[in-house]
Amino acid sequence: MKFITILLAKFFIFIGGIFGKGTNFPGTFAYKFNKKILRKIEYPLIRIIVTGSSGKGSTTKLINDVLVEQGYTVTYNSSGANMVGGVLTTIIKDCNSAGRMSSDVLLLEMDERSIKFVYDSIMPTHVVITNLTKDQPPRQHDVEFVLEEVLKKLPQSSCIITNADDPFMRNIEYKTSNTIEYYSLARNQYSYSTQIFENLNTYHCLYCGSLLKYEYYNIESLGKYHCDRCHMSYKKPSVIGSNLDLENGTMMIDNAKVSIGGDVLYHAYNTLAAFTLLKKLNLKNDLVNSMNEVNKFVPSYFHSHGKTFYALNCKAENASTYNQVVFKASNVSGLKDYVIGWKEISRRYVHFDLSWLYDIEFELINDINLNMVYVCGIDAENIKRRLILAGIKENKICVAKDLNSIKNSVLASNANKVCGILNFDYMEPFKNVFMEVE
Amino acid sequence: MNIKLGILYPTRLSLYGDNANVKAIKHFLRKRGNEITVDHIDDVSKYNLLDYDFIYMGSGMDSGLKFAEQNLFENRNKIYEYIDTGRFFLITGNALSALYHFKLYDFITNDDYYVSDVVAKTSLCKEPIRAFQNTKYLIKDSDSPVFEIEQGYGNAGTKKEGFRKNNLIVTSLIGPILAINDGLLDYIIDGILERHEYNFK
Repeated sequence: MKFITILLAKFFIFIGGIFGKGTNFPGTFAYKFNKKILRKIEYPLIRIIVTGSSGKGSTTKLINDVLVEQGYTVTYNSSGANMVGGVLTTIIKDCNSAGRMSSDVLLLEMDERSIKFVYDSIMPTHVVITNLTKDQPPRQHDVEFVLEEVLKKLPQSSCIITNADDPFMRNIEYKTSNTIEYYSLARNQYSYSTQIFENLNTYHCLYCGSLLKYEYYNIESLGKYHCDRCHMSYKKPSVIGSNLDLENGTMMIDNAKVSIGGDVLYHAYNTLAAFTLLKKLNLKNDLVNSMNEVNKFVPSYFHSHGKTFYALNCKAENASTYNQVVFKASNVSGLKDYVIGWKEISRRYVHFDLSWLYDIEFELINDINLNMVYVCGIDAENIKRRLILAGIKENKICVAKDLNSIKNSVLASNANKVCGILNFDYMEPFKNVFMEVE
Repeated sequence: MNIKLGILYPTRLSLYGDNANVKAIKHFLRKRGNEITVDHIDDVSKYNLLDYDFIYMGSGMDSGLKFAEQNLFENRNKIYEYIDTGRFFLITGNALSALYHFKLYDFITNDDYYVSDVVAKTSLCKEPIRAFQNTKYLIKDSDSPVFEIEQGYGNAGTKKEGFRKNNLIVTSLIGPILAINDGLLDYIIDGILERHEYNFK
């Protein structure tokens, strides 16, 4: 049965390859045809799963790139198909007809709600949880619900790697007896001491319910916290990132300068997650060198038409990624125009829920440096509605159907900086419209 | 006029952009020339609720709802008094479960979530209501529903949704319903102003 399942799935992978499709179907078929197929595979000794509300794709890619740079063979779902079907397609593609995988490492980016279906078969040696934040509300409901899903059926032998700066992630320590390796970003030039965000995941001590106190915040509820009333306090991490320099995309880890690959805070946290996992693996070559080799700095800005454009990538339905980007944009100096928009919200369902838009702290961009906000795309009117409640004057908001229609206005504007607060599906269109072709 | 708005347990119940409802009321009341104060009510025992013209309670996670349920029950006399005096009290989403001990209505709890776009009508305003549901709780039955549901889930097994007593409005619809429904927002704002003037006189 195993043999037939694998052969049929491999056939569908082959056919799908011809048509440039087939990242999900072969695995989905195999899973339906033979429910036990995942258990019949002979997996590599190192099996890593990366999950979380955001950053899991980037973190997985970074882990893969470092491992490959060091000469390991890695089976990795680079297509981003991160549910059971996609994962099984990746595995079957790599294994032989007897179900034996040949790679050194199995590395999977996985959807938070699908992970429970593969735990007992794959028995991951390491599980990286980048974060759990409000995300895709119609599907993920709330973070306590998602945490339960992530921890359901988690093997006790799996080592968990997660963020010490996030008090919500400390729930894992109370709900499991697994080994946990924490990472943290130390106080840095972008940290702040008074909370500037509303609508956070965690305000209260997980033990006694008192409001947590913070020495500093890095973003939202991430920072150095403690409870005045009981023993809950910041956990000493295995890996600490310090001297964060977003302008040059670096931080210090273990006394070495490490590239974070970009200039938004989430680049630093993704790098820390990958670094902590890789350090735990005791790789054969120097980790920092490999990291700096594969995680080269790519700034979010470009110069064009005499202006500086920032293309800042967010994830629709995830207010936390938006808040990181809004925070960054608000710190860009000088008179600014903003461009906010997306093509579509979700490909996974048809619901129309924009409640998450009201969890984004657009109030932060409402200052004297705001020249004009251009809102584009299918939900432009809804974004405008949100911005008005953030106190932005109606005459400073321009509604447009797409990026092309605002090009002339943006280029003629007095502002020399343009911050694009963009869903990932607007990143390329933004660059295509505003980047000069040489 | 000096209008006071209160948000119940904002650090525990703020799941789906809920605080936008108060932001919307504040913004448009201010636009009409009123002075607005917004208080975060973390513990009802520490506040005189009768000072408030409008109180809001939004969706939360289980841990937050448990806290709210207990704190509301411990201060039930204040809550009953607030409702009986006709002041505005809006409860949205799964926060409807926090009034469990008040026996105002029964509700059902589902293992799975009721998730749906909502299109509804209401006698409170002319415009159709557009909203969203994402909840495990629905009101079981109500003699005084708020919405007639065209799309979405009504009170268990019906096309009527919500509960109303005086100016207490309870609905399973989530998130910024006032921020995205101008007609409903105007109804609440007009009501707050009228009520405030009446109380003042």
